[in-house]
Amino acid sequence: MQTKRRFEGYCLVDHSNSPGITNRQLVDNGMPIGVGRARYEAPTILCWHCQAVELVDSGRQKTPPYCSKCDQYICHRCSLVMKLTGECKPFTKVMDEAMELAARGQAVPIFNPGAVNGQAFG
Amino acid sequence: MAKRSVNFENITLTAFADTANLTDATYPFLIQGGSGTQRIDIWEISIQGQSTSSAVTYTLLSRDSTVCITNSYGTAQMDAAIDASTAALAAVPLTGNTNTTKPQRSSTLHLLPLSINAFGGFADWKASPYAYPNTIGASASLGEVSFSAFTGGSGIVAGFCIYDVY
Repeated sequence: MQTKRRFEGYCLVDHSNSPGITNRQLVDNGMPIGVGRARYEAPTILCWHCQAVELVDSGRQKTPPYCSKCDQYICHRCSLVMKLTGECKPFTKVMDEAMELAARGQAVPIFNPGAVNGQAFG
Repeated sequence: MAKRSVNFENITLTAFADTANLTDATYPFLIQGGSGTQRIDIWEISIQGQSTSSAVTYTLLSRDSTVCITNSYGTAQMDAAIDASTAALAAVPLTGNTNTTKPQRSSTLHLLPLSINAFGGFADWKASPYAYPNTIGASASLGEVSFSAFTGGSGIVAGFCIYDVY
């Protein structure tokens, strides 16, 4: 039986032989607490809307945000944008549109997954 | 399909803010499509610290809001096919870190943060065979990604990126 686990990547950060990184520095850079010490391993998910990679930090969450329209995991930013707009546009659709425009010799528009009502968000 | 590896040794990173020009040879690599319809899948990124003292390094894979023009390789940076039987590509992707028009990292399209202490630290990320970041074409913002150090930290690093070209 196939599960969503097959979409998980893998991340290893090893500071076993290093002074490491403080938690404050990690949080400021968008990585979970604990990554900067010893050996840290975690699954990753690829946002199906914007392709951002997020570490699945079991200390804070066990299940990443989920889009029921495209039936895939998404990142926290796209989850918030979806709550605000209700729109689901998978990146595969963005790719198809870009390929179509490129094949016709037309310019591909700037990709902006965090836009709400035309304004950048997050 | 043609899996390739862009790899780098002993790169002294410079920290850059978003939408700032990435100075030549101060970031590990960029990957830009070789043609307007080329697709590139990114499979793995690995970075190993080579600094001789503590140096927190905030490296980040991100799409670029400004793509490079006229690309070449820096010292100890190269790109090669992984499969020895791979045929030569008709449209070769650009993967260097030395350019006449400098690339700029997008402020809204960051893909993967990989922070390490370059004094003995190591990080590796592997994509799932079913879900991996792509680039399409060769123009902003979908046509190029770069791996560079973000504001606040830098060090000396080595590593590689495995990608596939369609």
